[in-house]
Amino acid sequence: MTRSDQDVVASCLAGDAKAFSLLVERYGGRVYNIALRITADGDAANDCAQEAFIRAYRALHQYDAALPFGPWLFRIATNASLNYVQRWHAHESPVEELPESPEESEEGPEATAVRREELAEVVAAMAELPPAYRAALTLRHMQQLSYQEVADTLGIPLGTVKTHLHRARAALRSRLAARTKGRS
Amino acid sequence: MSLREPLDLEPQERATHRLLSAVPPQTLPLGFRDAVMRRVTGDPSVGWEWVVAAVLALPSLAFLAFQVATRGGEFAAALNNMLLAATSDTSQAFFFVDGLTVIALALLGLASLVAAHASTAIATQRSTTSR
Repeated sequence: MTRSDQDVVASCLAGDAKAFSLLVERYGGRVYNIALRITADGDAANDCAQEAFIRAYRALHQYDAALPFGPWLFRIATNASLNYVQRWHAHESPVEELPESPEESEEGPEATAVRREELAEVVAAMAELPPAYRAALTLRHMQQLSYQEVADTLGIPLGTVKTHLHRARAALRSRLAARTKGRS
Repeated sequence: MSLREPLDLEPQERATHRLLSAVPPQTLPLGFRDAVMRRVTGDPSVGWEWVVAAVLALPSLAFLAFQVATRGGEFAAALNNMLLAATSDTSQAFFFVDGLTVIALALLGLASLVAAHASTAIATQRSTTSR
């Protein structure tokens, strides 16, 4: 039977540090991808994701077990990534490479190549946005969080989240249009 | 927290959502979990190095501080003699250094090396996942 996040946290607090590896396994991918989209750099994302888990581990006693663990951890990861971007704001090289998509075999090689190119454009356009917009878009559309969860994760009011997302989407559309125009 | 799309997704968001949710997630770097767990549990191989460095450095520092406090004049004179010898044609400089002072300096150097190694190991640990 799968142990709940709260059970694992309780084990960690009782002194079983190794139980924390379950949470790293469970949330590592999502935390890394949040950091990756905010920092737009693989190495930085790795550092920020590790930092997020370390900070979470040290702050486990502050975690409220009545609330889901994921958004609490995502908040730490988002803060770590935004702090990184603020410190090293010059780092703007977008991550262009994309992993193999599971749909590839069904689409055929040409369609797959076009699709991969489109997605790379989306990732590159997103990397050009301000970090706060990247964070909001990542949490909402890539991590599928609700408005309230995004607000909790970013630590800003719900109304501000909606405004941020509205502006972020408009900025993304305009960047994508500019990139498409630039290519043609 | 749905894995497919947020429950409160609004119609005007759908296009962007389709676009962004189609971006495939990147896989975690190899060794990520181990790197995190090493930092969580603390690597004892680094811990003892800090202890050794402290054991070597602290008495040496205390002794050197004591020497400077009680025999600072002699150190200043020795340093002065060396500087004079270095800036003039004289090939000889006369100064006296206590054997214990030399040992203390050597131990301090050794402690610095051990501490430097421990610091490097920690820095490597933080980013040792496969890049």
